[in-house]
Amino acid sequence: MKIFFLILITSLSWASFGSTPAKNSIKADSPDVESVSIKVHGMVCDFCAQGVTKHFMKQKEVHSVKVDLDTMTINLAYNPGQSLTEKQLEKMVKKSGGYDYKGVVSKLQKKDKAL
Amino acid sequence: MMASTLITTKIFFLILLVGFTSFDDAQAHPTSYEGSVGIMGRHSPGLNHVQINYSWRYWAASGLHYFKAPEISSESDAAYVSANFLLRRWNTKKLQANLYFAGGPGLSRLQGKSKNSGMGLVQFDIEDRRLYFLAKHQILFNKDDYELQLGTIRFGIAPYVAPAGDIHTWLIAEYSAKNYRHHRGNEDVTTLLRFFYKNMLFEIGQSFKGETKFNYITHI
Repeated sequence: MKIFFLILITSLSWASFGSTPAKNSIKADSPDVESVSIKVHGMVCDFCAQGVTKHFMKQKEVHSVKVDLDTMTINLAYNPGQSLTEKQLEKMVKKSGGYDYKGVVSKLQKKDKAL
Repeated sequence: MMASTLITTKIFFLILLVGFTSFDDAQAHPTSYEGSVGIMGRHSPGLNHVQINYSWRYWAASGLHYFKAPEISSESDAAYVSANFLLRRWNTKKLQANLYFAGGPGLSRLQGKSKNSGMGLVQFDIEDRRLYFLAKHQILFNKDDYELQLGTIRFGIAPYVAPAGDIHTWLIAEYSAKNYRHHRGNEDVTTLLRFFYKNMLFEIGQSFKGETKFNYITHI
C-alpha cells in the first residue's frame, strides 16, 4: 500500500512539473523566471495600473505584470529565455499611459546552471 | 436633411454605446493608453453627456459625443466627433497632472432646429492617491454664437488608500455652471460618492438643488 502511494505521489509530482503553468500563475518574484522591477513616476490610480498591465501583457516577452501603486513600481516576470531592454521598457512605460520611466530597481536573474 | 442626419447619428451612437457597454470594462480622461477605448457618461435630470474615445497614442484620441438636454426640451440634443489631445503631462514621484484639449465638429439642436455646430474642451487635472482636483471648461457653439458653456471645478479626497485592484472610494465636491445662449442656465454644487474598481468608475451624488447625478467611466 505504501509503495502504491509512493508511486502515486511521485507520478503526480512529475505530472505537475511537466504541465504548462497558466498565464499569470507565476509570481513576478518567482525564482523560476527572470523578473525585473522598474520604477515609474505618474501612476496614481487603477486606470494607470490597468493600462500598464494590459499594455505589457501584449508583449510576447512578458509572462505576468504586477503594479504596485504604493512604491510606483512595475514588476515584470518574463517568459523563459526572454527579456526586454531598458530602452524597450522605457518606450512601453510611455506608451502605456505617458508615465516616466525611472530605471530598474531590482532584477532577478535565472540561476546559472553552470554554478 | 439635417434632422435625419442627426437621427442617424443618434442611432449610431446608441449602437456604439450598447455595443461597448456589453463588455465588462469601460475609461475617463480624454486620452488614455495606446489602443484603449474609454467610455464616459455624465447624467443629470437636466443634461446628459455620453462620450466614447479611442486612443491612438497616449496623447491623442478620437472621440464621439452625444449631449441631450431635457431641461430645454425633449428634442434638444447635439452630437460631435472630436480630436482629443493630452497637451502636457506632469509626472512626479507622488502625483500626476494633465492638461487636455478636445475639439471637433457636429450637429446641434440645442436652439431648436438642427445647426452645424462645434465643440471645444480644455481640462486640467491633478491627482495623487489621496487628493484630486479638476477644472474643465467646455463650449458648444455655432458660427453665430455659443450655444452652451459648461464650467466644472472638482475637488476629491480618498478616505483611505487601497492597493491596485481593490475598491477605491472618493468623496467629491463639484461646482458646475451651465450657461445656455437661449435658455436659462444654472450654477450648482454637488457632493458625490465615487467607487473605483479596476477599470470601472461610478459616481453618484446629490446637488444642493436636489438633482441626482450619476457618472461613470470605463476603459476597454
